[in-house]
Amino acid sequence: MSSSPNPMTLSALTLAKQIASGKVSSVQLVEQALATIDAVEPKVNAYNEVLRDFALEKAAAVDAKLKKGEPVSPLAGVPISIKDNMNLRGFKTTCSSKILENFVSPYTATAVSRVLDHDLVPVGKVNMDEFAMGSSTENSAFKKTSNPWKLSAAPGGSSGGSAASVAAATVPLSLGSDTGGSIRQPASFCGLVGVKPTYGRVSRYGLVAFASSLDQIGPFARNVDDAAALLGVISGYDPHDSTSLNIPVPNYSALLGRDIKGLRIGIPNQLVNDITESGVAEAFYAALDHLKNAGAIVDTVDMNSFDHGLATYYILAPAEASANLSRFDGVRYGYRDKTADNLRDMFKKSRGHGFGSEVKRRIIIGTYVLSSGYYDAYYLKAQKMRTIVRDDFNRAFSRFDVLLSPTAPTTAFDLGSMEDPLTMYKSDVATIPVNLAGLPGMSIPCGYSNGMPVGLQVIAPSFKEDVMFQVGHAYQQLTSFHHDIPSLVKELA
Amino acid sequence: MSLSKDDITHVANLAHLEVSEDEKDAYLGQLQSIFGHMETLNSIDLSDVKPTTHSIDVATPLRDDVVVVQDDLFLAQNAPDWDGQGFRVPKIR
Repeated sequence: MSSSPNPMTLSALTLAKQIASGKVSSVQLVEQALATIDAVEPKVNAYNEVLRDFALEKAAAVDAKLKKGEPVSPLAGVPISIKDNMNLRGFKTTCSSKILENFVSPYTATAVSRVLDHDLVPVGKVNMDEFAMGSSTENSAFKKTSNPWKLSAAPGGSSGGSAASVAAATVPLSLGSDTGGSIRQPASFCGLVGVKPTYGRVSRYGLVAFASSLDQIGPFARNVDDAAALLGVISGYDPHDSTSLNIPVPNYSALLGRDIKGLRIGIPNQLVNDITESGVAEAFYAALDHLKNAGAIVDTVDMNSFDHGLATYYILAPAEASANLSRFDGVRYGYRDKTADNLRDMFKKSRGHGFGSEVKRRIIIGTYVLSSGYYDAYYLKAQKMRTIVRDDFNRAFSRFDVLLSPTAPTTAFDLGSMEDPLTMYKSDVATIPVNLAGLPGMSIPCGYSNGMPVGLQVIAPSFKEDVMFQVGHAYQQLTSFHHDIPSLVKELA
Repeated sequence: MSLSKDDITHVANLAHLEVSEDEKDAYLGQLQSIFGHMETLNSIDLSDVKPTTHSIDVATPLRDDVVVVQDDLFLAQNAPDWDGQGFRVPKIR
């Protein structure tokens, strides 16, 4: 199976149909995925671990099922990568941290179980910013992942490995996680579709927690239809996660192909007034023109709360993280410093030496804002600000069906170029409010600036992922950015 | 209000996090700038606003009180010091 184009540049649904019809086997596809990984990994470094034997066994099992004529899901047999903060029993889950470098998962995350039950084939665990804290994947304790579009550039973060593994055509799908933009921003930087669902849609059981009121698992794909299909696979109530929604999973693909005439699109002024990279603004406005030509009605809207989104997030998320990461104490699992001769020192040294500097920075911020004397000044204010952000969105959604913005104010920055943490935080200014309000958001490729992909963010009201996908699908009928492939991949053929 | 190096020492203690003097120096400037940015929240009147603790309104779900037998949890494999029944740790001094 070596004909070009590389099959992993095709749509996952197309590949699944080819497998179901016998045109190609899942084993052949997985072999192709593994061969591509071998070819590109020296340059891209997306994978923490490749699950060679596991993937081939699973693929063979899927092929056997098909041979017997058993019914399979619409994505059966398709290879997928999994961000390394989701547990898969029997394999390492490291969160790209020294603290979990050798930790073997004793259980499987619900989202990953659903992927397996639907006969997709996980081929590897992919790199990320340590404990999902970061916007470039440079905070990984293990290695830097490169953007397949330009190897000196970052793939974004914290799901940079997920984005790079799909953009480099090793797999057509990946599962990532998003707390402040960690799926959407890397999708934007790598020219892919990335989706954060409504909070509670996808079970967080088995996802190593960063900020529990903000975290969500979501799909990376090459196009909207694939993303909708994968979201359908992983969504649904899970008794193991008390924050998962006990409501039926809709058919996310139901509105794909429905026209967008009369659809009301709002553009938050706060997210377009300060775009520093002019190419990003151009690509964004060109995208709006396409949507207007398709009949959508576009208008601007003031979302004043967005001016305080960053401050709110960087109080709440570190606060929740400081609580969630307190379990890493070297007692039952993970890195333990062996030089300490008393328990307290063991905790301090294990955590102090095991965590990287960004993680420690956020634990310090989080502990500070929750500490006696400061709780009201910071944490309580941020929780109130969260109400204001949600109210702002509710107001906007009484006038509009979806809100659109550039996903990030710039295209992918160079590795090593962001020394100041606060500057790095600012790359999430458009994505953060969506997590604060628990809404669904998606990034889709909408062009290029300085040769690098630009992402268009679509935000929908709670539970309206189908409308979000409808808009994305309509846009992808009018453009071909989602078919583009980095030259790194073209050169392999 | 300005963060001091003593604040970092205090907080690191609360969080059971060893932070070297060099790290404290590096963090001080960064944290002052981050907390400086948070001062923008003081410009808004939040007195009549209720805090949001959950993205969605859900009641706590309950389940039947049924014993669940767990798979092997790989305790020995993942533990730094497992004696067959418990996790051994240094003494509390």
